[in-house]
Amino acid sequence: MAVACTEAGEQGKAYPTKPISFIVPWSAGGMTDMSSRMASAVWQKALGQSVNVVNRTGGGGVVGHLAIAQARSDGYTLGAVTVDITLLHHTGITDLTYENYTPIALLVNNPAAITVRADAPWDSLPDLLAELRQSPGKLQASGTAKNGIWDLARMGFLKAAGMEPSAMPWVPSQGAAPALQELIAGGVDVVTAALSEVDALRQAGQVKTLAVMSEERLPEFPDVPTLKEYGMDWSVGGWVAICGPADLPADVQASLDSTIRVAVQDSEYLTAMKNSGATMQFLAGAECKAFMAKQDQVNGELLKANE
Amino acid sequence: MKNTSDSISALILCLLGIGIWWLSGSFPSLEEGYPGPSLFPRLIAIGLLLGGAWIGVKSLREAKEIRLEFKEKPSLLKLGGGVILVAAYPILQPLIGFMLTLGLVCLGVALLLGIKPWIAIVSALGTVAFIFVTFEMLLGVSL
Amino acid sequence: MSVLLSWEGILALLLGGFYGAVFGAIPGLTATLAVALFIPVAFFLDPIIALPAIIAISSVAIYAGDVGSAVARIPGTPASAAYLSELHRVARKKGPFYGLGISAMGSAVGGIIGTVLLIFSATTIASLARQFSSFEYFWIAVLGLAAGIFASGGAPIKAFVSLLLGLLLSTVGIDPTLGHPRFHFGSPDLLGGLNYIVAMIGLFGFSEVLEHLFNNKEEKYEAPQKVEGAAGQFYFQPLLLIVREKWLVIRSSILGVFVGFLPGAGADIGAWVSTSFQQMRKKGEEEEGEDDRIILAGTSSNNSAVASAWIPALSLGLPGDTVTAIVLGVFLMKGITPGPLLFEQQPDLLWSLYLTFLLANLVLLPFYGFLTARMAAFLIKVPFKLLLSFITGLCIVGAFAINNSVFDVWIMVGMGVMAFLLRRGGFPLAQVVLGMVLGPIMEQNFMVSAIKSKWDLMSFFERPLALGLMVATILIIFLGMRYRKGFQSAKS
Repeated sequence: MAVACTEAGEQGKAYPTKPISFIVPWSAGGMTDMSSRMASAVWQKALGQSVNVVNRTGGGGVVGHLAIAQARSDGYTLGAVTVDITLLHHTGITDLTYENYTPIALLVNNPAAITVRADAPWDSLPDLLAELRQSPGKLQASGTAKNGIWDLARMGFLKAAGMEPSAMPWVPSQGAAPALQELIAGGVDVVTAALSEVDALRQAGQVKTLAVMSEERLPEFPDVPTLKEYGMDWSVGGWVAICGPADLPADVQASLDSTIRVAVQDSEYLTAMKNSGATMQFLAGAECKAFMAKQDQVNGELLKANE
Repeated sequence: MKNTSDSISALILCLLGIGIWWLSGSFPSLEEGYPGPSLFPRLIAIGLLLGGAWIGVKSLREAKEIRLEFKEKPSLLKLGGGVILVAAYPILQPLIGFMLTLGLVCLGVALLLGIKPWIAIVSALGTVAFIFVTFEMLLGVSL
Repeated sequence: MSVLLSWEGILALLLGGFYGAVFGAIPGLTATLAVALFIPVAFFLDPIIALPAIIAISSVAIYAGDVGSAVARIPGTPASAAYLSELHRVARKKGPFYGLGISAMGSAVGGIIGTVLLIFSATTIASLARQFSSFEYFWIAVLGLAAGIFASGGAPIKAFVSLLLGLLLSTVGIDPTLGHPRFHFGSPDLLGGLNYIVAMIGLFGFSEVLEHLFNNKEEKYEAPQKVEGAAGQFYFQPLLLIVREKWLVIRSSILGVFVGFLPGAGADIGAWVSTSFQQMRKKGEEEEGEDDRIILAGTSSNNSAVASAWIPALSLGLPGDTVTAIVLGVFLMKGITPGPLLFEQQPDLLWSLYLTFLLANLVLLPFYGFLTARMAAFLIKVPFKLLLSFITGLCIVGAFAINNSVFDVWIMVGMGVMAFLLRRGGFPLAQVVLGMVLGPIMEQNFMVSAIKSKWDLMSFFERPLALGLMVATILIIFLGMRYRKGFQSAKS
């Protein structure tokens, strides 16, 4: 770690010479905000300059994402770009795409899960699927706004099961917490939000999770099966990537790349992230860009098919 | 004066209601033909029209005594000056920085209020200093 | 975590209280922001230190929001706006120590009642709140709006129009349920909607500056009373008032608790409901000490709501307000899972939380309250005109700091001009804020309910809880009209 630090220091003598602003497009206390604050707290040690987290909320994330894209490309304004950047432009709210950014690193990718009330009559995914086939349109799902990431998770899930999107209609909500409240109060039947978001209620015995939409079982939740195990090829998650505006100078990119690699190894960061229930997935630079491009394509196709 | 102002409010409210109804006409409805994003703005528009009409009718009914009351010397010029000064902040701030802009705006407002120039300068300096210390230094909010 | 409250915890309590006092007193810096900026620090602290600090910050910040109202007519936090003019009047007439004394002592008593109810009813109340679906939230918002019509001193029709204007402002930006942009006129900044805290700074703060620019009149307030006996004015007289009005305080605190535990409602709405209830009970226009009672009602309910917002957070893992949303984040970061299990697995932690709440209200509020009131007593002696250029500066910086956006400065200016015009027409300002706060709750829950029930509007009356809330709404309108009638006939 010490070696990496000195390397970074030598490479970036000119950068950074002043504090960095870090824009978060979502409100304080949420998943994006928390992982950004945790990462920046350890990152500033490696960078040798303070990283100030700034919340720019509103417009379903458009306002903050726009602020990151429109910032000066000098490396002193960075931000957290979330999965929503691959959804918003397909629904015509904004022209912004992942190409308006310089990806630095993917930090978190929380897989969606299928959660029902604890006293629901379905004990496993096949039970739920049977009910959906038998009476399509009877059960309703929620988790976020219309065409949001968890709505997309629902669309992909139904498509992978060979059903129409109308088999389980979407009830929009302001986020995962209000949707869970609806679930417990009996307003909706299924919530497709991330496993990390439903975990508290799950441990309290209020809800049960039938499946997680990831490639493999999550190490923190070994008892939750994946869709793959039931023969359905669909995985999706809510992710957060650190990005700068498009065309960051090469030396700035190099300095950010080497320091973030150090920061994500920090033991305090790892413990805090693990405790928050977030699923870490680290991809840097070009890999991160390829990931975002793939997501944009897959999510776009799904949204178009559901219009 | 009171009743005149009520008639004017009634007119403005009705115009606002019609404007909102017209603007929300372009919002799409839901797939099944149910009202969508335009439902609430339109309900508000109806409410404004009704409220405006109510106030308008009441003001006409009571419009026996219309008295104009301008005891003090109101100054639209100073009011406009204050609005323009503060509205200029977002334009000037990126050009000459927060401290200078804020100082100038505060000084301008103080002068418009008729405060003696030297007191105005002191209070503008004090304001900038206080805001700098609390926001920038103690709280770490970058301005 | 066996120690109930360590020395570090007490130190955190003291420092957190100071930080909260400063944040709450400065317009534009809310209790939420204070806690949010504390997150990176909390990340490196033990929960036994981090949680007392958060409790101290939020309890003191909600009180300190009143300091801005008393001195400059700018509410420091949205929860203070409900009784803004009353507090400002009392602070000018009877001295800042008395005005802020009512507010600090009322907050302390409200906070203690809230905490006691938190201790005894967390589990029971949570099981009721668990039954709330979008239908109930819709009716809660309607209830709040109905109360708002009668919460002003003037004509209900004008309060109604002000509410509608607030509701209208809340529809600007992307429709959060259906994702369609409304009234943004091509501006990306408007796409994000109008922040009601920015609006409040303009409506209450900047409009005051404009008023003075227009009229340039001298304020004719009696000189504030001499500062000797400040402690008596701050502690003794308000305590006497509280003893005299004990039923009012208890009623308001319990109202605050019930509003506070509803997820998303919180201290802001608690203060509104409670003050409008008090406004409705008012018999004559110039009744002696009416302002004092309204302040007491608002201030005791907003602090009891601060405590009760923790009820759903602790027992269900659902946040009661934005502050507890952040607290849940800290919990999860530290590997503590909120929910019914918390009551069985970590009783120590719960008891230290309860103890911290009691200490924050018993010790911190009186202590920091007096300190901030001293500051305020100094400020209030300065001629108001001199303060105005300072207020202008704070309005600009406060509006900017909420969302780090210079565009919000323009929104603030626009709101100031609107408030100036509304005052000319005799329309109340506080209702505009209420409309902006409740508008999204009402609209989103209506749309969600309608989509959920496939536009079967009868479903809004089918659930027993929803029906109960609807009956309560009708009752409020009925009582409001009756009191209003009695009030009018008593005048003529």
